[in-house]
Amino acid sequence: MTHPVMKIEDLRLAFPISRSLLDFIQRRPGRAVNALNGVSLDINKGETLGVVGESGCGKSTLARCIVRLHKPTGGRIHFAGTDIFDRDTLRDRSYNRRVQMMFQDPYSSLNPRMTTEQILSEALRVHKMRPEEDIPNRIAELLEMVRLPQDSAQKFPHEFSGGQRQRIAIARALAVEPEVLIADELVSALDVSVQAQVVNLLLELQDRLDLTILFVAHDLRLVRHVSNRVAVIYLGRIVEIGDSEALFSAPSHPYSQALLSAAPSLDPDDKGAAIRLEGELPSPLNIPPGCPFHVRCRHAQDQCRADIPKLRPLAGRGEVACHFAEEINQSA
Amino acid sequence: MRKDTILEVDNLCTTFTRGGVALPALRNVSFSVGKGEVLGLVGESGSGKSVTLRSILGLARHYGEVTGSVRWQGQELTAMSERHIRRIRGREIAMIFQEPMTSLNPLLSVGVQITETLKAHTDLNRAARRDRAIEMLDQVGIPSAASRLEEFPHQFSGGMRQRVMIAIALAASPKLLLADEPTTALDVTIQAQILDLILKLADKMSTGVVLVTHDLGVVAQTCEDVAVMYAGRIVEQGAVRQVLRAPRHPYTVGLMRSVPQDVPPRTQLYSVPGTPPSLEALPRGCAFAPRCNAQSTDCLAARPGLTAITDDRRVACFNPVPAPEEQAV
Amino acid sequence: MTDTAAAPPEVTTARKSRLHLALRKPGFLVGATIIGMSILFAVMPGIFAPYDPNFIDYTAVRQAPSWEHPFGTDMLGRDSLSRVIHAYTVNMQMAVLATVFALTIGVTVGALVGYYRGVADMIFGRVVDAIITFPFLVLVIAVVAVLGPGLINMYIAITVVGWVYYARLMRAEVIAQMGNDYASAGIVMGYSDRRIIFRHLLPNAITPVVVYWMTDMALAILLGSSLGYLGLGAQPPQAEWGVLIAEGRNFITTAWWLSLMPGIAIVLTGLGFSLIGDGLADLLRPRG
Repeated sequence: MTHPVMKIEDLRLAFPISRSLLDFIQRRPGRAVNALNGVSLDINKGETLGVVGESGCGKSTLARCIVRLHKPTGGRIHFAGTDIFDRDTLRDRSYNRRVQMMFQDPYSSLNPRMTTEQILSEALRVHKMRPEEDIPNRIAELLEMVRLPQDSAQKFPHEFSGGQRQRIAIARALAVEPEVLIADELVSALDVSVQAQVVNLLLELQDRLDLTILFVAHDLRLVRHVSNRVAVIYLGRIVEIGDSEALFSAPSHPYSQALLSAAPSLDPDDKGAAIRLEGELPSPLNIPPGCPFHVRCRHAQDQCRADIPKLRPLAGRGEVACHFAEEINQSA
Repeated sequence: MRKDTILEVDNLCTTFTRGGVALPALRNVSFSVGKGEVLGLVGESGSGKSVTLRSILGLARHYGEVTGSVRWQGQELTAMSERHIRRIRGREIAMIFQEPMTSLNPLLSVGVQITETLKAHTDLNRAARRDRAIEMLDQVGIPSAASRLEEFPHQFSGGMRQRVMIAIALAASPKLLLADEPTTALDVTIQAQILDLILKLADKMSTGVVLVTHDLGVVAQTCEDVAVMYAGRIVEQGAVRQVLRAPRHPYTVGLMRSVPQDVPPRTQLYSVPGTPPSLEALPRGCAFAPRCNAQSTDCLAARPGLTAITDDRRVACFNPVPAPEEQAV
Repeated sequence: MTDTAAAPPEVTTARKSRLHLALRKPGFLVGATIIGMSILFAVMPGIFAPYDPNFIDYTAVRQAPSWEHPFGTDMLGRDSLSRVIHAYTVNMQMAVLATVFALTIGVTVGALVGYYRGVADMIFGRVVDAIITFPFLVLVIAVVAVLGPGLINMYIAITVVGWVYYARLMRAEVIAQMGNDYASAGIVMGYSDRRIIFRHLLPNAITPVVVYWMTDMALAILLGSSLGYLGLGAQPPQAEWGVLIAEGRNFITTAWWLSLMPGIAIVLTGLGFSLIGDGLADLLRPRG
């Protein structure tokens, strides 16, 4: 029933840090920021897969790998039967048509010197989506689709509000009729009341156009709202993945539990489970050995300091990467 | 009605001028803060919440015209000379900003930046200032404070930097803390820690706090009172429990309902149509009227004033949403 | 779910009003007037010059400025004003020809290395370091010394050295623009590198280069006349400001106007380019 459109296998990415002259003289080994440390993930057709985590956890890097803005240092991404980093596939621009991305910052994701019409017609022309004479009609259709007034076509990005610019970015992505949309913090920069408008639009378009969406965001409530499944990322690894409602109502990994309880509730008397995480995210420059979360985990034991837990199914829940998931969730 | 009021803002108006056009950034803002009390100012970008803080501290008057009254423990701040107000800033009223990286001097060690504040505002000698700095860093939860005194801002993570900012702000034991989106740039787990810290300080040192934020969750968890701002005005004001549980202004209702909490997943969210007005083109009547679903002809013609509906509750709306007593139970 | 998303009531005539704004700035207006006049002098000096610049009159040698000869006459009795006006042709030509090739090469190279980085960028970095450690004038003189004096060789010399400054500026600006998501969006859209570089990055990165170009044209005139003065650029009897100043040098105490007038022309033109550059910075800056 659910079949994956995209399979990500053991994806790894390390950004090397340029060595200083001193490092060189002292023969210190080159260091690297380990942004992704073996992420495996299936994205199913038609679903919204939410990706949550703290800043620097690698969620945006993952999104950027999927659209080939970064080349991973290890692992594979399969789409429609081919490895997207294969030399032949790299040359094939149709992948860029079928998998599209929308960015966080509405003020920098549109070329300030192009009108909405130029932005949209460029996408249509490059991928030959429509014959030349149909382009004006298609632009009108796209504007209609994202609910922008028709006179937007002749305007420049600076004449729009943040929410309107994100609509243009959505229209640009949809112009090439993609199958998969990557939304990297699409609404994070927008005001609350405008956020709701854009999220509504996205959900509606997904139904209408049968889109698969990877929704990367740090706003947990928003991710819960739009996602079918959710992956929680910590230091470049998935620590828990599963059905959105199940995961949000009963997170199994101690990190997910802490993350979800930290989101302030709108109800003044609902102080949450008050699991306060001690300390901060370790630097991705030197990730602790064993379970990357053990330094902040209340349940950490010797095994956690030594072995990296694998993602494994937990009875009645999703998949969890924790040695003691059963014990923790029994006592809870 | 309130014991120990320390700050009383009355009818504060701030006007900036850009390209010959007057921008009414703040209009008729009134509120008060008591000892150890945490007041939330919520609103979207451009609603005037940050301008309010800057107007209180006398920072806005360098860029625009500020009228109305800001009474700080009986003294009128708006009438005060720059020299005089500078002695209050930092010593009695401290401010922390959203971006901890840009508000710390990257060239000075953290210790120097804290002791500098102490030097300016206290009579402590050198050794005592150092001890106090360590004490402050310790208090805001920075581990091994003594050794980190010599470190520079870039050696601290985002959350730690914000703690340093708070330590600097609190070094001279101010009676009021103005916090401008102190946790917006931080992750939720760190946000929770910082908010806990601010609350603890308010509680232990009876520091009054004005917390500016766009996040209703933060308000719910941190503040006792809240003022909701829209287009430079307070549109609703009252105790947090009352305002968030039973909002009366249509804008507050819209804000609350836009947050996806307790709604069926993947359904359409309630959304306020349109976008906030720009200050140079404010509607003649109620600034929210063009986006409001309870709009009547009155709303387009005249501006509703902030009026008390109960003792502690004020709303600026001609057609407020009915109180819950009338709706349910 | 209502969702009208009406555009905010902002200005829609941004472009026009920006031109108006720039024209309202007195500096830009003055600069534009000076350069406009300079171009007119350069294109048709015959209309403005009262005499033939090469007409020799031994009966009227080194005359002080008068109604008949407003800038006086030189040691061969040639009318100074006419020579200064005719020099506009060659000096304005210098401003353009000495810079336009450097501009084109520099912009292209800078955009390419800024976009691709990698090995090409590292090599480029070394070349830049090598060239800019030498004083510009010394380097140009060295090149002219090898190629021999004359205008064409001077243009080649200035281009060989000058493109580096444009390329460096362009590279930095392209790298800054690459940080914007619209560049990433172009890559994700599957646009060709050429399209991303020349259609997206270049128009957004070019402003500081154009502004620098204006100052560079002023510098080119200065450099060109310096070389002319040293005998390495334009050659007498060509009317060129540097040559004119050199000719007047021996009479600086008795016929000061011979050197002063072309000097003023240099200063004025340089000022004109700088003022235009300032105005252009405002005019070309994208909004929002």
